[in-house]
Parts: sequence; C-alpha cells; structure tokens
Amino acid sequence: MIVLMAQTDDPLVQCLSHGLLQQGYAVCVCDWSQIMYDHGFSWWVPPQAEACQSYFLNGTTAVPFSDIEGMMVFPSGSLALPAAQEWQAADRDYMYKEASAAILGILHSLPCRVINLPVAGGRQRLFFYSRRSREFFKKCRLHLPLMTLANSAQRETVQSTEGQGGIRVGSLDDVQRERLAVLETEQDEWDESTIPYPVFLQAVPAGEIYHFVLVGDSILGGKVIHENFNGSFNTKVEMSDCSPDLRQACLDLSKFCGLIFSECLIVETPDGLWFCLDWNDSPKLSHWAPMVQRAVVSKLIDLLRGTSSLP
Amino acid sequence: MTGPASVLLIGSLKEPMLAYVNQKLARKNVSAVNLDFQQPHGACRISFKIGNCRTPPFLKVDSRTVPLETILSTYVRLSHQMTTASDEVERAEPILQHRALVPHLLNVLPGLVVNPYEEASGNRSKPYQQMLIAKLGFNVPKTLVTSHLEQAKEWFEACRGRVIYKSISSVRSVVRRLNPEDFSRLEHLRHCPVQFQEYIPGIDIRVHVVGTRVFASQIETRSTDYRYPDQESFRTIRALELPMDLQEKCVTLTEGLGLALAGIDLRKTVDGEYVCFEVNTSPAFPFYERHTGQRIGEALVEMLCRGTP
Repeated sequence: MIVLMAQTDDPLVQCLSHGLLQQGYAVCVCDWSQIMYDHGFSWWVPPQAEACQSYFLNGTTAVPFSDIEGMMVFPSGSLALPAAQEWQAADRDYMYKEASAAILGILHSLPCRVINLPVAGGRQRLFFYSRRSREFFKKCRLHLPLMTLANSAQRETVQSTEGQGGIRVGSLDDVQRERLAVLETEQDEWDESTIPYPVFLQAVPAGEIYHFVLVGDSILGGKVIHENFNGSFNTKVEMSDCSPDLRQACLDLSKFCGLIFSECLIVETPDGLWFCLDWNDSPKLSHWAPMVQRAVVSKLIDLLRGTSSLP
Repeated sequence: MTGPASVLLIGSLKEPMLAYVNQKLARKNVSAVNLDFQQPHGACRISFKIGNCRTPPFLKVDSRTVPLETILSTYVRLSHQMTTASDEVERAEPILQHRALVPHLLNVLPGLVVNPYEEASGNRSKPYQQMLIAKLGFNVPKTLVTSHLEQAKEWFEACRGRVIYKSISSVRSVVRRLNPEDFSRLEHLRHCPVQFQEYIPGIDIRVHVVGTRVFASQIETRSTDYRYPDQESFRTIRALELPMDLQEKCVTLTEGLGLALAGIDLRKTVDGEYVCFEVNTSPAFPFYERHTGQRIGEALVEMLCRGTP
C-alpha cells in the first residue's frame, strides 16, 4: 500500500493517486488529524513481536506499518486540532505537541521510503544557509547570496543589504503569511514602516534566474521570466537548457539535505557564478507546464513504488 | 580578529541557568553578548548578516556590532519551548513569534553552539530520540505510543501491570505508574496519544556530558519519578564514578546525537544492565551540583571559552 498524507482535494495527490491505482497499487489518502483524533493508531518502539504490530486505522481498516511500501507527506495533510470548544488554549497546545512528537517518530520508524522525511524541530525556512550546508555549497561550486536576518526590519536594515538584482524580503516565522517581494532599489521602494516580525532580506545578484524542480535523480525546469518574478517560486518559467554541472550541483545538494522532492531558485551571474536564492521542500506543480507536471508525477510514482533509485 | 572574543548567550539573563553561566563567564573576564528573546517584541533589535559579504559578517544587537569571527561559542537557554507549530497560542504570543529568529541563528552561527537547533530538537519526540539512542548502542525500554485504550490495557496485561506513562514530547510531565484505577481515564487517549513504557526497576543515574567530560549522579528514591519525590519517600543523590566503558558510551551517545552538552537519564537494573530513557538536550545541572559538589557549570564555561567540545 502507498500512503499519501494529504487532503483528498490536493491536485498533486489526485494525480498520484490516479496513477498508482492505474498501476494496481492500493492507495490510502488521509491526513494526520484523522489518524491522531478520528481513527487512531498504535506504535511500538522498538519493533516488537508479531502480536504488537504497529498500525494506524484508515476508517475501520487497519494499515500495518509493515504493509506500507511508500509514503508521501504533503502540507495539506499536516496536523490540525479538532475544532472542539471544550479545550483551553494550553490543552490544545499540549495536544498538538504530543501528536506532532508521535508523528515525527512514526515517520522515522517506517521501513519504507518517505517523501520528504521531516527533521526534528521542522526543516527551517532557510535550512540551506546552515553551517553544514554552507560547507557543502562550497564543494558544489554553489554560492549563497548575502542575507540579513532580523527580528524586525526598518529602512536601515534594508539599506545595509546590497543587491544588484534587488532585495528579496520574506517572513521567517510563518510561510502562510510570507510576503515575498523583490524591491528594485531599497531607497525607492522601501517606505518608512517597520516590519514587526522576523524577516530575511536577501541581496539578489544580477543575472539569469533558474527555477528547478528536483524529484529523485531527475531535475526539470528552466529560466524564470524576469518581468514576472516576485521573489517566490510561483512565477512563469521558460523551459531552457543550463549547464549540466549546475544541474548536478543542485541534485547533489538536494541529496545532502535529505530531500527527495524539492524545488530551488538559482541565479547565474554574467561571470558564471551560481547563487542559490531559495530551496523549498514542498513544491507545488500548478504553475508548471503540463509536460513538467506529468514528468514529476511519473517520477514520484516510481519513487513511491520503490522502483526508482535516488541520486 | 577584529575585537575581543565573546560568548553569545541566547535567552533571558533572569533565567537561572543562563544567569549562572553569565556569572561564571564574568568571573573569568570573558565578554558575553546577550540576545534576549524573552523581551517584548521590538525591545531588542537583532540583525545578522551571512552569505557572500564584502565586509566580514557581523551580528548587531541594538547598537552593538559583534563581528562573527569574534564569537567563540553560543549557549542557548529558553525558558519556554520554541515551537512554531501551535495555532492560537502562537498567534497570541508576540514573544514566541519574535523568537522565530532563534532556530535560524543557531543554524548559521559560527563556533561551538550548545546545542545546535535540529540536534537539540531531538528530544521533542521522546520515542524518536529513543530510536536514535538504540542505534547508538544503548538498551531502551519497550514502549507503546497509542490513541487506543484497548491497546493500552493489553499492553498493561502483557507487562504484568508494570507500566509507566509520560509525555511523548519534551513537555515536562510527571512519570507515573499506570494502575487499573486509571483505566477509566484511558478514553481520553482518542484526544491525545500517550506513551506507555514497561516499568524497569533499578537505580536512577543521571549523567551529564560536557564535551568529553562525564559527571554521573546516582539517585535513590522510592518515587517513580525521582524529580518529584512523594512526601513519604526519601531521596538521596550522590556523585558516582561510572565504569570507563560506560563513560565512553555516554560521550559517544552525546556526540552521536550532535550535542556538546547532554543530561542522560539511565537506570541500572537489578541485573547490572544500563537502560537509557532519554537525553535532555538542555539540562539544568545546578540541582545535581548542589547535591554532589560536581563542577559541571565550570566544565561548561571552560568549554564555551575554548570554543570546542
């Protein structure tokens, strides 16, 4: 059985589910809230004798962990607390932390491939800037643009971040609230207001911007159409070639970060340097051409079935 | 180096552990830089430059600029957990929101970080951490995490009534024995799963590992959770010299979990085996120091000043 932890109306989930069913696979689509609060589960650590087989219920059907051949976790399948009124905020916080702790452990205990396996504490918004990653960037000949992190931002913070291709601004604490923008010149675009939450301000180098989607050992994508670029992944892409070395560097980095499915934004400067603007562990496919969508879905199906190797 | 070497302290200096370390650093005349995320939002302005800089990267706290190359090490201690998950609690708490910078800082700061964010988050899920502990060579207790009351009852029977329960996450909970009188409350499992573990009788041992130095304390009590002795129970805590191979195993465990400072909870069984329950990634050790006279804080400050484990 292949398990997709997601809402059933997620377009990518529907494509995957359809494709897997066509190939004769049993597919279970459910979300963590259903498992944690509606149907239930039992998980033994370390694995015990046969009488104590870890499982979760999908409706009334038990899904033993040992029967799961592949799992993919989607943001739409994330844990959400039931909307019951009787719980105090502190109780709800405790319930959330306990269920989240169980989920992390369960995912790491599964004997099958999990796309993408979460890390303790959650993968940080700028995980690719970490000390460990930076070492790896050097090996791959990739660079990281200058970035300022701040718990709030004023004009002076923005002015200290010099980007020839503009300044990319985004929230650090909540992706849902993320207000990504690229300011052309800090003097002209920045008003006198203060951003009152933690932000990153990234100096975008001048050059061609590439958007890639990485799935297993495949990489697809091309040039971002500049007029359309608002700093996010949600921009139009013109399919184009790029250096095989750049493609390999991106694949190597995704492997290093433990990501099977991800997307990245890269700037190639006129003097041939590659700067990584962003890396996302939950790509959406809606803004990609149908040909790319089909290729990604096909590759994900192979990975979930275990018939495709990783880079 | 473009300035005096300093140690970065993240958290409120009113927090006892951080105050303790700060005091010890002052006695050694080591400069400390404090990032206080406990203050109301906006009270402390922090910015930090990383990546390809023309000028050396620096950390700016209010009007103070600290070149990153001068930071020897970082010690973080937050009185509440840094979680970015929960909905309304998070939204209602600007201080928590303000702290969203901390994980990013811990990921990117140079020098020794005690402890790095992802590694320190390992005990946010005790069973997850338990799997890592087992891989690093320690015996761990048999555990059931469930939301089904029938399974909890069956486990109780299978363990012949010798079962404890405690939180799954790092939220502090009192470890208690499960009794048949508790069965009526098991229906609440459908709202919140619980971790049940086989009860292992024996003597509690708390091991603090600071870099490669090991400080062990033996705790004897009749309570299930030695941190919360019953009124009638006695509790004695004394320093203990562990066998050398066990000391090495504790250092290997700490390193394997990516930590520089750890509080390892062991129990020595009646058969002389050692079972590891969990590893605290931000241990409050002065309690053990008071009882044993061990100089754990001194070892931590020395490590912070050295900048290596």
